[in-house]
Amino acid sequence: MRKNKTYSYIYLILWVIPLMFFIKDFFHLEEIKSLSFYENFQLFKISLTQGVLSVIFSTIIAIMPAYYMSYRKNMLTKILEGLIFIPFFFPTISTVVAFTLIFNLPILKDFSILYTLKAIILANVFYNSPIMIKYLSEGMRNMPKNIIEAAKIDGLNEISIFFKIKIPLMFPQIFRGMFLVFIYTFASFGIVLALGGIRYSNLEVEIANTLLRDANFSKALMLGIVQFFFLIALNFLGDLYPPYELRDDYREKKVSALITIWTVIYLLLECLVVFIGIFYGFYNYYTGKFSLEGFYKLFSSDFNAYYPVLRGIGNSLLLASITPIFVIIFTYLLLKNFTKVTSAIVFSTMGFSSAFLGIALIYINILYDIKLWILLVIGYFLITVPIAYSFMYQYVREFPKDILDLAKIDALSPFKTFLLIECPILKNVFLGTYLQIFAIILGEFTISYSMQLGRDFPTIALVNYSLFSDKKLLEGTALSSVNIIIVVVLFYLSNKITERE
Amino acid sequence: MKRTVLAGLFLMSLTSFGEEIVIYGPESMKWIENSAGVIFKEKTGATIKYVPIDGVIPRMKLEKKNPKADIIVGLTDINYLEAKEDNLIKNYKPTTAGNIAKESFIIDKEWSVTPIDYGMLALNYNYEKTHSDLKTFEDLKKYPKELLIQDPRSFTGEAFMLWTIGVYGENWLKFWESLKPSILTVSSGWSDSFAKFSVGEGAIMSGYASSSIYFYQDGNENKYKSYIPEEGGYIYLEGAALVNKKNIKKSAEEFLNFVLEPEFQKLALEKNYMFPVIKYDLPEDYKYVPTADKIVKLDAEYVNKNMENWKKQLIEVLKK
Repeated sequence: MRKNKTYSYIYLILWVIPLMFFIKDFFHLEEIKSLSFYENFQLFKISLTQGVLSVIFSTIIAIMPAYYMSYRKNMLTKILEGLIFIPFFFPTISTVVAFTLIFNLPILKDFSILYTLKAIILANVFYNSPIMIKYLSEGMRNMPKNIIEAAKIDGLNEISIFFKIKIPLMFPQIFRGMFLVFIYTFASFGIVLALGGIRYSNLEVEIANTLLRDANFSKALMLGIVQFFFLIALNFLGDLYPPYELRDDYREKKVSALITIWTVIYLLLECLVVFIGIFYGFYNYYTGKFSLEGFYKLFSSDFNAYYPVLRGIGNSLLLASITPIFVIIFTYLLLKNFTKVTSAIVFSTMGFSSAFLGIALIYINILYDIKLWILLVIGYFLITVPIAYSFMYQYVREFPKDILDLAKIDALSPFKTFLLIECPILKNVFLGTYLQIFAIILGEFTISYSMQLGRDFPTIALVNYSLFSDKKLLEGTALSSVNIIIVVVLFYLSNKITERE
Repeated sequence: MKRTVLAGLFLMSLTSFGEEIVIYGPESMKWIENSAGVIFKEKTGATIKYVPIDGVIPRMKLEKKNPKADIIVGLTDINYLEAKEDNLIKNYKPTTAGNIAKESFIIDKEWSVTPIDYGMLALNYNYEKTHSDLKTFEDLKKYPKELLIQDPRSFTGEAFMLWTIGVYGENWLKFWESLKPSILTVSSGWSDSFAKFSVGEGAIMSGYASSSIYFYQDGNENKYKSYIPEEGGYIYLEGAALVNKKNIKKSAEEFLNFVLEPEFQKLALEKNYMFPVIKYDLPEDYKYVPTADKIVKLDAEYVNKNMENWKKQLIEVLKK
């Protein structure tokens, strides 16, 4: 089949168009010249510190649970596997809520964790360590036994085997995990905004502040470019370490008590944060009693006159239902027309600032009155294509060629091949991807926040943020609980569906 | 002919009656749509759509080519100059301008902005945590990690910075350096600080003198107090302005007339906890608002010239 580069370029153009309008009208070279190198370098350093520390701690904390997950198969392993829902499904606002409540607990308050670097790193580690567990355990699990045995025969001891054989074999996997954690924490927004304060503002928060408060659009653009090229460079670095195609059968191994205890504690702590996020929806922080008052208020018409909770839920559900359809169709076409540039284009956009994209989209609304929901669908489409691409890559690219060849022999058109052959086989993959994108959009905060849509097109995340800003703790935690419950159910369904594959 | 005239009259009535005006302003003035909007509709037939915007002037700069708002509220006697110099707002003298109680309430003689209300900055504190009354700026330094302040790029944060410049003059940055150990966090804006203060995250916050009325109404006047440091108080005026656009709506001008009427001023008192700019008897609760014998004042043009640099310097200190 002839590969068509058009889809890759369409994706690139969709990114460039909104940015072009903005750049054309607001980019002034003289403003860039007046920027202080030191000030911006400091910003970069803060982002880098947060990213690097989060990667280091997420990796260290994940080693033992990953080891446990690689060599044991029981209930604990299943729950550990389930934790991957946190980085991809758990809403940022719910994380912020849970950590604010935790750091304000009487036993922790004296440690003054809130509004420090510690608070950001702890939240980042909670959020991203499951990614490291996934990648580390995959690396450990697929370590071919025969290579290790050969090393032993050659006289290498356990330490030498670990450093000379295991680490180099696992490195590409570890690197991919670290890269993902780094991207998520280097360009983190909600957590830094709410748990860090001005002192720890990273590039992404500074871009939003510069756009929304300073009106220094050239500076924001410059910061966005720095962030973009830095992450692209890192992305290309990843290509230097292609993963080894290793596969080995699962084998159970005895794990030490220390590893088991560490894994249990880790699991409890991760689940505790999720639990607190739900629990405070049912517990009145002020009276110290269980109540459903927050939920009643949340859905009452009086309350909705001031805080558009129902509209927010409706809007988020609408966007989350529509967008994944476009994302899946487009990603499928991208993968069917995969060329050398496809991955480079798709993954390079992961480093682009969502806050900047939000402002560029609202600028299109200002210029051409394009409906906000359409612009939001475009925005969410752009940021979720790389995620769908990762999820669907293996299934679409490695679809059995013999089946497709048979379809060609039967002279089926590409559309009929898709409809009659690929779609029935891949339907669970599509459904699983749909639910994952659905959950991501439900919790999305940065784009809608920078577009300032609280009045015209509120989303769940925006209303939730506004509730916390206005000290409506009871209602805010209730809404956060609703959001968490929805994503947990979605995750469970998505897991069940993809398990069947 | 008769029909054409009638149709014309009908269309004209539609353009003024049933018109919608879009107002941009801070989150704290959301009451304009629900409360003032009802009265305004009764008077003019026009409806109000209030859009809370974080950073009104930057948003107006973004919308310069095709402004969506008709009115902006929340401009101060300082930052209106930035909007005026950028041609973002248009002069209009309200027909009710005669209601203004004092000449000093008129922000701009050219009427690029109409005063709505005025207020005084203050420091609000939780007496149950400080266990003693605070009197000066220097007293703040006695409480490590208890002070909640706002980003100088926010409305209240900017005003608080100007207050310290008014009090300490050239040494204002030195004051901030020495204040740093007392700062718990720099919030994105007043609402965020107030939320943190209310749930007990910090014992002191930079805010407004009129918050005392809110504390009183909530039955918390013994727990939460406000004070204006002996070094001097800081008064600021808030205003509304017409957005400079091709088609200025009639009801947008009517809104500016309306803000100087007693009904709107009463709402500014009740909902915004601010002082009226027209002659109006203050409610009993206002006796709880602290006052100052000494007021510091800064020249708007001098401030406007240096503002960007001052903010930069302060942010640098806060980030260190």
